[in-house]
Amino acid sequence: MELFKNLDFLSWELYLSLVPGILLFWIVPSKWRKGILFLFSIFFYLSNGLSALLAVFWIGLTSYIIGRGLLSKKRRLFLLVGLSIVFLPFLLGRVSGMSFLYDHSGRVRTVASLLSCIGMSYTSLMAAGYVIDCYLGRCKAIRLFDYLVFITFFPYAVSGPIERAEHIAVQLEQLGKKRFDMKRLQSGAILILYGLFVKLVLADRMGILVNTVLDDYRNYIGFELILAVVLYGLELYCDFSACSDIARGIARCFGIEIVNNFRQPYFADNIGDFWRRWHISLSTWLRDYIYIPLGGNRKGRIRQSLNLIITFVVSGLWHGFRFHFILWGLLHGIYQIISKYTLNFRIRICNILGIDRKTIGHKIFQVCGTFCMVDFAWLFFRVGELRAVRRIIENTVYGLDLSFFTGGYLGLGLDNLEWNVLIIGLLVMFAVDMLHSRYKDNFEAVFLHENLFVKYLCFLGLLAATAVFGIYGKGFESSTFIYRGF
Amino acid sequence: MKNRAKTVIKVIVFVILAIGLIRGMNRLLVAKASEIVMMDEYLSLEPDMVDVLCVGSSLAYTSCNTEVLWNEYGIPAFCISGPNQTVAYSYYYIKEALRTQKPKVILLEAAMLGAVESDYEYGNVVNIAWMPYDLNRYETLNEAVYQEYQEGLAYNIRYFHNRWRELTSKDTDYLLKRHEIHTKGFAPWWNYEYADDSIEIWNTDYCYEPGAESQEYVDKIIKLCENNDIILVPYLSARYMDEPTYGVMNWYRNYFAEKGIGFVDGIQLVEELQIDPEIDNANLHMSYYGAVKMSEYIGRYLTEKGFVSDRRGDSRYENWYPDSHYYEDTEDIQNLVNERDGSGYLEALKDLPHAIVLITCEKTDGRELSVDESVDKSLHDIGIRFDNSLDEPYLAIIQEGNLIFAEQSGNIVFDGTLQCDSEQKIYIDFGENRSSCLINYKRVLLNTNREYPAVKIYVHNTLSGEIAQARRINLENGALE
Repeated sequence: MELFKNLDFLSWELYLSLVPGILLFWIVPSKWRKGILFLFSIFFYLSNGLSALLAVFWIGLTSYIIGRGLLSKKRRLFLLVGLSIVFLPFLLGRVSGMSFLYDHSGRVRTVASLLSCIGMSYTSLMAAGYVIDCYLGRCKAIRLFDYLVFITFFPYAVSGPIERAEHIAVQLEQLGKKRFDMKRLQSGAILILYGLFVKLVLADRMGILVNTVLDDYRNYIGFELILAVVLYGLELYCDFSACSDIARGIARCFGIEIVNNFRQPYFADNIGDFWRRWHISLSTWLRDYIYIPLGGNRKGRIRQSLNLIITFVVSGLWHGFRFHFILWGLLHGIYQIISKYTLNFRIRICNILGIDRKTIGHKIFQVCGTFCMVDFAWLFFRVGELRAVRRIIENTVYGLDLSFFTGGYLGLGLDNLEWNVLIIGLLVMFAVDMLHSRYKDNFEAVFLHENLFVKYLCFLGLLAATAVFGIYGKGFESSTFIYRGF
Repeated sequence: MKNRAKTVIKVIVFVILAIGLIRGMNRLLVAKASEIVMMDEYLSLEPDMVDVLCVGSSLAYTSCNTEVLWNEYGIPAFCISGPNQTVAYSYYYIKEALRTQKPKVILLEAAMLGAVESDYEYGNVVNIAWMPYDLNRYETLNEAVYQEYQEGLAYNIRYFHNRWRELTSKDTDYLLKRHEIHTKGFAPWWNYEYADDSIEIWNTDYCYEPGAESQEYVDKIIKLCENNDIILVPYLSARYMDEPTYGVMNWYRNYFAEKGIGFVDGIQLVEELQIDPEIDNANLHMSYYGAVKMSEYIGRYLTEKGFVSDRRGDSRYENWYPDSHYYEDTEDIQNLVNERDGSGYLEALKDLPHAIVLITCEKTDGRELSVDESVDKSLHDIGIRFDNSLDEPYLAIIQEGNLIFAEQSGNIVFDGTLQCDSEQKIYIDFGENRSSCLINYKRVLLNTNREYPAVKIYVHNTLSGEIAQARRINLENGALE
């Protein structure tokens, strides 16, 4: 049995190695902590192959030297060295260990395919963010070792979030002064457990139905397709937010706080609000490094619209160089523009109709409307072809059949028992999201003040529910995180 | 300081609770078919009670009748074997077994001696599922389990967690206690349907050399036996074997002879034991009847050689085999069940004028099985779920004493509280209160003159001959009363 191969958040070996890793981290003299963190990250990357490690070092060193160059008086020298390093591996490519630069036919990969093949899009955005910050003078000089610890930090290697060098560097400086805190560990552990629960019990369970229907959409109609598309939206959220929670939980156990990537996005009551809640680190990255530099909303309505479209198309492109991702981005850009320019009109309509915009009913209506729009856009994201989207819409409209509600939903890959588990799980998630919403995303802190019995119950309950009802193991090869592909 | 001590205690309590929870779930969810739980029953024995330990593949647990060995010769024997148990597994099983027992003889069913690993999933699962979590299990996992299954079987819950769908009271019974049915590892095959036609008696003068790894494990077994003063007795069941495999057996026969180890070859004993393949064999294994003959021979062989002594007068063995006539007593009932048309069984129930009789086959692995959808859906309404991928149980409907519908369909599991396993047979009595039920989406009319709202289900324990449970299902609202 090969241990410690291809570690990711779903491999039990990761958690097996985390226990001694975290213990060691807090036991060793505080000045060694960064070293332990760095070694653990190297171990993580190495388990995924030498190529992954070389690639992250390559990105890290290149961006660091260019960044330092931009901050230094000897700009030209640093830029020259930095750019040399960018191209050096291509020159050394035939040397052993650099094979990641070449595809199966031996040709040099394009940068895009290189980044996607080694799953470095998160890392590269972080590195690019650092370089831009240096260029704009928004970033202080960071020590090389600290920067390497930042860029290689393994929790956000899988699916983000996209961290800022400055944010982590400050914490790394303070790392030696931090004392072991049991509550921090508990809060990290509950995040990890909750993330695993959401991923394995909910996301992958919904994935069964979604894949059954949408992979074979020609043979499904009406409510079957509607259900699959709705569940796809939920699956995506569960999958991605679970990954984020696990990353935050692991980082917290090592004394580092990374940004929260989600704030109950499906509670958003308009598209702008949705993007302030969904994949926050990417949204803010795009805002800070693309939308605002393009002029943001400072150069008139037309330029603002154009900037929005460009930003969202780039967002689509970040997910992959495919037409359907561009369409998805474009659709969100259009949503944003329509949302902005029809706001006054909508308010006026409400006033004419005597609708109180502050009522819960109206709020629910807005939340549902936003969800429908977002979910429709996910359809482009999922099925890939415009023709397929058209076919799904046709099959949905022409195939609406109420017999679906008298048992038809059971033939889509989930039987009654599975539905029971899914619905209870979704209710648990809804309750947790409500609590997050109420306590302003500081629910873990509230949880920590609960008495011991409640804490044990939550820990053990999540552990048992995930172990028993999770979709994993033989016959259920649990799918990897969807956003790992980006 | 005080706070730190508190924190340490809290952590320790939590770790203990978490480990307890995981171990509990592990035990709750693992499959519990009779050929799987042998190791559990074995580990529940008092130390140093077993004189003869039998290991090997399914050919071992179907041929080594521990009842006969005890009842006829007073030999306290135990069989810890599993389907497709390769020689590597057998080695680790013996290692595990020697931790608690000091057998005088190890009976090694030799048919799998040539195989070090097998890609048969069920075999791999069964052989490792009940091994205790120790270093020996870890070695077994790495050395004997087929590579593809190693990761999944590292901890049982990974493989079996999806059994939450089919948990029964039997599973919960296992949470706090070990295996209850004391059959000492013997798990006979009764099924006549797969009776074999013939047994080829090959020559013993040709050999095929087995692989080096296989020889290595046989050497390890021999050494293990030598180090523990155990007499190794390899034997072959009296059943059909193909010519190349028998060539390997011939090679081992010579190899064992060189080492001074006797070899009991059931295939060469077919005539002496008067083995009739149609009765004594079942699907390339020995049937219960063949196992009786084979075990009588083995018992005589071990006694005459002086390897073991009769323990029946020994006070330590007073409670050795409380169920020592378990299979013997059920032979007549098994005969009825094994009849292809079920007529004998129906005859036994002829006093029921209106009934649905469901005769199940053994659900051998405890896993969720695929379902004959049409049968499943039609009976779902009255609270019965059918699974039928493994064996073909029997379904019959009697109306006024006449068989009006008969079909071999599938394993049966009751939704809710009623359960059925290999020891129970189920029938649904329509009595005076039912007129029809759905089979294959068709409503089968039992008595068109009557319209009644409910159906009665009896769980009939064929072993005791008594009604174990009786429930009434209201067909109008599906309520179980």
